[in-house]
Amino acid sequence: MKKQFLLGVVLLLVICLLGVASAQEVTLKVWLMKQAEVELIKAQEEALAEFQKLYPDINVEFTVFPYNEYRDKLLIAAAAGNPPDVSVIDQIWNPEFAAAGFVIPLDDYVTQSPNVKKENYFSGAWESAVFQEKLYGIPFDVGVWALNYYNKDIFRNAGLDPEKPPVTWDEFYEMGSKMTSEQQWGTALYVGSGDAVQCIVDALIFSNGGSVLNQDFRKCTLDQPPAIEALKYFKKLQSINPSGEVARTEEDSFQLFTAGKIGMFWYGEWGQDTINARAPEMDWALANFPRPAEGKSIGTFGGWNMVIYQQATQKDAAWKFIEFWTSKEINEKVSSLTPANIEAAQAFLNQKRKFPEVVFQQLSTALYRPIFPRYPDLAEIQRNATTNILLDQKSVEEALKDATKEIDALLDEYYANH
Amino acid sequence: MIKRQKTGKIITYLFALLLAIFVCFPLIVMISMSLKAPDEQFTYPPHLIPQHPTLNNYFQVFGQGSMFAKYFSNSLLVASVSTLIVLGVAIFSSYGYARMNFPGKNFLFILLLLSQLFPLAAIIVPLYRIMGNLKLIDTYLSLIISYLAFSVPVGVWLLRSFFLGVPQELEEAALIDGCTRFQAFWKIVIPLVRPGMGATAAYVFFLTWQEFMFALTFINSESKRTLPVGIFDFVGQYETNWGNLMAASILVCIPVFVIFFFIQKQLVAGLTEGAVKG
Repeated sequence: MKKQFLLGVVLLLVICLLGVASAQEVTLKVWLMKQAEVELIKAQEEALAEFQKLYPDINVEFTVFPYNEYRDKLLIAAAAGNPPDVSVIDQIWNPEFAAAGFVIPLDDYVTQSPNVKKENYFSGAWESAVFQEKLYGIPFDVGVWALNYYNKDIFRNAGLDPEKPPVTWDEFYEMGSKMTSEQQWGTALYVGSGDAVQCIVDALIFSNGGSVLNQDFRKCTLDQPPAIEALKYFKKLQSINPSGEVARTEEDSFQLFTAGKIGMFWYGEWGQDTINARAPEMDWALANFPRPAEGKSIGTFGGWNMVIYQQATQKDAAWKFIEFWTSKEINEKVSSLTPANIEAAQAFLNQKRKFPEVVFQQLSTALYRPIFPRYPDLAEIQRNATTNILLDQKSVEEALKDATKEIDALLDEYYANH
Repeated sequence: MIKRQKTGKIITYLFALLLAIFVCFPLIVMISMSLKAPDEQFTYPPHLIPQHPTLNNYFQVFGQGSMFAKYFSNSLLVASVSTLIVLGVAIFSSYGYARMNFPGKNFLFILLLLSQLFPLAAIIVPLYRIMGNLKLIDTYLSLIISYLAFSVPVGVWLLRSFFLGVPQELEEAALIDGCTRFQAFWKIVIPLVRPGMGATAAYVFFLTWQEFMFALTFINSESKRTLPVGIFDFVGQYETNWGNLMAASILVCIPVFVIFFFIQKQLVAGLTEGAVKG
């Protein structure tokens, strides 16, 4: 009788404890990008298990989407009031998501956090998440447009020293000219329909000391001399590249490079794996993005930030997850691009990339694209200007003046209503 | 005279051949690409026949970390269930429109076809809200229900013309011989419209097999995605795994080819049947 009573009490206690435990347990919905690499998927699973060990009461639920569908899914879910708690978003969506009120400022979390500090991350990536003086995202991974990939055999055939890649704009153009013949070219420009061309053009402008928007992002500065010179130089490169650059995408240019048709190619550090897969025999190397004689080599940042949604039910758990996922040890293992955490990036580059110092140096000085909630519209105006210039429809000055007018009108219209 | 006929024939064949090449070329490139390793995919000059053919792309599509097999079975499930339901509903409904008289028949039939006029993009938002309220987001049911909404009218319309093609006298004869109305329908008319049913089923199957927008909008979990959405797994932000993508595309086409092979005659007949009848 007594035994039974005791057993009953113990059972009751167990049930109570279980009840308490399950009541505290929260489910955290996390959306990420689909990764193709088996190793990476495994690393993510392992990292998740580690997180679960640290926080047994937080139950993380991953959902992954391929890049092409990701933005649509997020916008639908956020607009329908059913977003995840945490997700990664492209740097250039961060101002848009912030302005729409989809994601929350993280400044208070950062002040209290022992691990997440501004100086731990590439500064250009951190700044990309700042909108109207508040921080709306923590950088997760980064990439830089662009580095100068070059084919050493083509250098040798043109009588150039493959250990001395071009440093300045003039050197790049001159070496490119030497490689250019009927069947082979110095480089292959691209415009296409994506944002890649914008990153390249912006990098040229940044390297020349210019910018796209002024400091508070309220006025366009494309009609200033640095931008004009940069685009004049870009146009000059037409003569050392196969025709058709306006319709060509970065992928097409990449194929020309791996096929050995062009000597040099501007692309981000993540392209290394693809070169090794498509052209395993090629003797290639990597150099910094060329700079003007008096300028500094500055690339444009790409990459992804982690955000917490306004409608998230588990904001504190979400922050714990971000702290964990962007920490040095984890960030290094779970990202396919270069990690945004600087220490993690160094380890990652040394392990997975050739020419890690070149890449690291380029990342350290890279700048973010203009902060504006309607960035895609702005980028399209810029791309149209670039197209007009390449097709000789307008002079460089004229095209940039028109683009500046259009972008200013866009900015004025937006800020008049917001 | 004979000579002229001959040249006419040659020209016809020539054009048919040109058209065939034109239509088949992308498919051939797809097959060729799916059999190449990455280092052979973008060589200059390109060659159509792989020098070192490999089946690796196909293995990778089904390999570790790939959800392709799951997407495939999801698509098969959603498309088959939708097709069966459409067929079940459409047989009776289209028979009614073909044979029976009831008030408002024409009006209702036009209403049915009217539903086809709305672009999908216009109805997707209300549908999403309805599905959300019914807690059906991220379920197969959400897809099946919305596929029914736009494929039942097509099914009814297609099958109706087949029913109109069956002489009414046959049914009357059956009735005189003692059949009930339903028996006449089930035992006499249905066997005669079997080709029509095949055509309708194939048409609905193709429609749902390749549907992208609803599948993208309603489904979140990776394990519930269908092929048209899932195939984007092979397209990254910066780079595309062309070999795997092409292998997957070929595999996606196979069920469609198989079905089309068996029922192409009925399908062509089905789409033109009733073209000259009212």
